[in-house]
Amino acid sequence: MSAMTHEDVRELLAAHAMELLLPEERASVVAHLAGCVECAREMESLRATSGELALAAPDRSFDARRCNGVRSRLLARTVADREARARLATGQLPEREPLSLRQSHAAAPQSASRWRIASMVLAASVAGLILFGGSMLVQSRRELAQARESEKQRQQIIAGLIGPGVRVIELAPTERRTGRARMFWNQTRGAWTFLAYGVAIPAEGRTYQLWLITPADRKISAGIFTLSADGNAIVTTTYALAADSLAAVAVTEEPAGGVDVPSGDIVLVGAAK
Amino acid sequence: MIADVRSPDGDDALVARIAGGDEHALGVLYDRWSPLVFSLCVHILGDDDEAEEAVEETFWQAWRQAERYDVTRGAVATWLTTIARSRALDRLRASRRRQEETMSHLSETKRAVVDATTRRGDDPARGAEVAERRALVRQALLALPPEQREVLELAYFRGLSQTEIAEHTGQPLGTVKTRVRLAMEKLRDRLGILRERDT
Repeated sequence: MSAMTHEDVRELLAAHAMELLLPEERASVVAHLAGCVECAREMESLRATSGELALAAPDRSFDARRCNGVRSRLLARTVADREARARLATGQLPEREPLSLRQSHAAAPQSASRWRIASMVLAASVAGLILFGGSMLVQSRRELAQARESEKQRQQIIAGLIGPGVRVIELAPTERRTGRARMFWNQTRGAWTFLAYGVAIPAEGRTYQLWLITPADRKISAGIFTLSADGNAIVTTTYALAADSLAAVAVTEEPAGGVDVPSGDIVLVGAAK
Repeated sequence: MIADVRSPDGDDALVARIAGGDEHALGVLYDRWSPLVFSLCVHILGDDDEAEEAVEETFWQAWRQAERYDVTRGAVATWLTTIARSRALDRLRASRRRQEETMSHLSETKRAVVDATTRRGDDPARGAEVAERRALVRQALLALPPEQREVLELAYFRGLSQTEIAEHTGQPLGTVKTRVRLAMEKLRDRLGILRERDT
């Protein structure tokens, strides 16, 4: 489009504020705005008016369950993202090979014990799993492949936390215990993502075990896990469970290797609301 | 759009903290503005599940782009609703493409803003200021001629281009452009008058 006059641009400012211009029109208007104080001022007032239109949407209640679910998912994602940014800023590289996530996509077994064996348990820290998308930090091809795998894992984990089909169960520590955790249950995909933070390292020869508890008090093992040095852990797996078949999620302290039936102290617990 | 409170927990301060990686600040901002963002998204999308996802995308984008927020270019609430509208319209357009049922959807847009706003007269306790602002905007919209109100509805909430509005309304493109311009200018002036009258 040939150069627009001041008057031409004035005619288009309202449409620009509503993001209605064609690309070539927009480019001309933007170019003019950069050098015309009068039009820039007019543009700001029209843009503010356009923003006001959001308030004309009818008020709709954002019910508590939806609202809290989105909030929990968002905050979990921000923690992962912040850790990744911090690692990028300091240029830290992974200290060990990331564990494969492939097992977590195996078909869900029917029995609790089989499921426990098949479940994918990540004995890595949250930070360890979300390390860098920063290939510029990586020197060798092996490290580049490692970086890509870590990024892929990070994306898979974050994907498990997103969407309206995801229920969030908050776990709080029991007496004299520390830490917090959230279980994200993607009911549509039968996918479970457990994130724990600030949990005390168990004594030698002991381990933590994750349980799903049904309304009939059946306790289904979701696997054992170990913590990073800073007390964080991620556990992901798939397991089909009916929407009304979860009463609570708990973590117990058990002998190393885990048990078929919980016997130790409860460390973290949360009711499925 | 809505005056910021310049306190440590004011919107601007929260966005600055979010830019620094403070997720608690995002939680506060979410608690404050998610009801409005949800209302906007559900009005555009007409589906609670889709709207919920759009809300999540909105605040996630706010988290990722907080560093780029420019306080001189408008209030935080405007920034959030601009993101929300964009995310919701992306979903709406994708849905339209998938379903190829544009015409049936468009027929619903006969419900103009004012019709829609009268479906619910209540404003739950979410801040008197927001409720007040809503009332002002609705009042200003009511003062517009119906054909001008309609182009704003079609453009803002349905994401139609001016050409699409012309096809939908059967009006020449030039007429649609004029209506958009007049509607926006009148709305701005009317809001200014209403604000002055209320202060």
